[in-house]
Amino acid sequence: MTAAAALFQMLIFPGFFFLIILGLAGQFVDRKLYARLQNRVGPPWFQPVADFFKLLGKESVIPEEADKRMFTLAPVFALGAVIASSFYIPLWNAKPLLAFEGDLLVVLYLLLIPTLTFFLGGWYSRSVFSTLGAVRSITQLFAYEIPLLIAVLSPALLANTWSISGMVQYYTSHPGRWLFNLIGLAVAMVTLLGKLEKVPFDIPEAETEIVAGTFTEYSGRFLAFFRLAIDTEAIVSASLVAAVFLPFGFGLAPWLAFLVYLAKILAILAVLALLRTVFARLRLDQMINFCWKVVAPIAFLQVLVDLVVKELS
Amino acid sequence: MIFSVLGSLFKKPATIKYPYASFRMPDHFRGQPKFDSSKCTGCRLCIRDCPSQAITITKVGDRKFEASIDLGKCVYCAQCAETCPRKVIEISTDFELAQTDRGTLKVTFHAEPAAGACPDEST
Repeated sequence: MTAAAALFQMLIFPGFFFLIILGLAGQFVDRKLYARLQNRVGPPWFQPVADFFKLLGKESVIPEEADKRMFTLAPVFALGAVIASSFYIPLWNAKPLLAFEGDLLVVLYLLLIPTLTFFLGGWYSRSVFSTLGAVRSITQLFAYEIPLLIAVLSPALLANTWSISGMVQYYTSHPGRWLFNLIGLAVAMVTLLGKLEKVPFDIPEAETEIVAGTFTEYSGRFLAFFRLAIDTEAIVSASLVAAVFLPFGFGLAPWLAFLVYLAKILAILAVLALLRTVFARLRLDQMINFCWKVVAPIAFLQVLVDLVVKELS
Repeated sequence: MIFSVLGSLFKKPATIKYPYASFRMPDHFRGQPKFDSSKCTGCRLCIRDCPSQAITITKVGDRKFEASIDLGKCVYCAQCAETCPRKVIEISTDFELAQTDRGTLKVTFHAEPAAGACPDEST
């Protein structure tokens, strides 16, 4: 692949630019569904774009006591990590941009970085609400990350490979085997709510309690990029869940595979929006209890199922 | 609950796109007070009961009284309507009363010999 083609793929399609557009569209879908489920009208389709440009035009205030460098770099790192992790995920092509044995773990670790940047950004804002939000964000990380890792690694156990593209190849050549991973899909959806800080796990950004948590002191272009990073993280995490647990439709014609990919992302976002509508916010200790005592054992159950299937096949 | 939530997807939203869509308040909504001077006896019980002294009654002739209500001071409690022994004051459902000049908020109900109440939005 030439350097120009690689750059195009990384920066425009299906890389940076395309993911950002998809992220903004995903935010619109989420907000519109959330509103319609509550019998409201909801924002128009261009609302996320308008919000982004509006925030870019506002004054970016950096608090006097804040650490300037960490404050400004945190959103950049969040967006960068999310885009980098998307290079290893097969979206609708069975071969992603980059692939190697073990890239599943790399993607999971890269998707950890946004939460760390929320913590660092909030911590270095040197404000009471930011510190509270930052610490809660990291505490929540300890709760949901283990079940998520276990759930995402169990299809890899069955496929005998640590590479996402390898898993897609395995499940495409053994059609129907992905049905054994449905428990893992349920676990991944629940922990995805925690990762994306959506209700019922949106304690770090509890608007009614601690203003805006981590993002209290953020304004202007820093907030614009943080929100963009969050939206893109939603799309990339949904793509990861789709590639790992719903690995069908990769062998079709390119435009059909693209439509299947969009349908999968839409379905995952719809489930997230529905869960967001129906549930109330959990307290931090309730959430940790739930994740460790209920979700993690179910994730181990998925591992058991996959080991049994692996032995029998 | 989840069934009613999912059902909301297929129903029209409950949002009324005011002011592009017209909207009528319910019948007993306490909006602007209206004064019928043909029935007024000048007892001034309304002035006594008004909590913000928004209404003034002036005598303009034999058994003819005019009322002037300051819509800026009025709290729309409808106590004047409740207190009036002759049911002269009627509470309408008008709520679009905003003005850009505070002076235009004083509404005077003149005593016309032939017709009944005649609201006039002038000082």
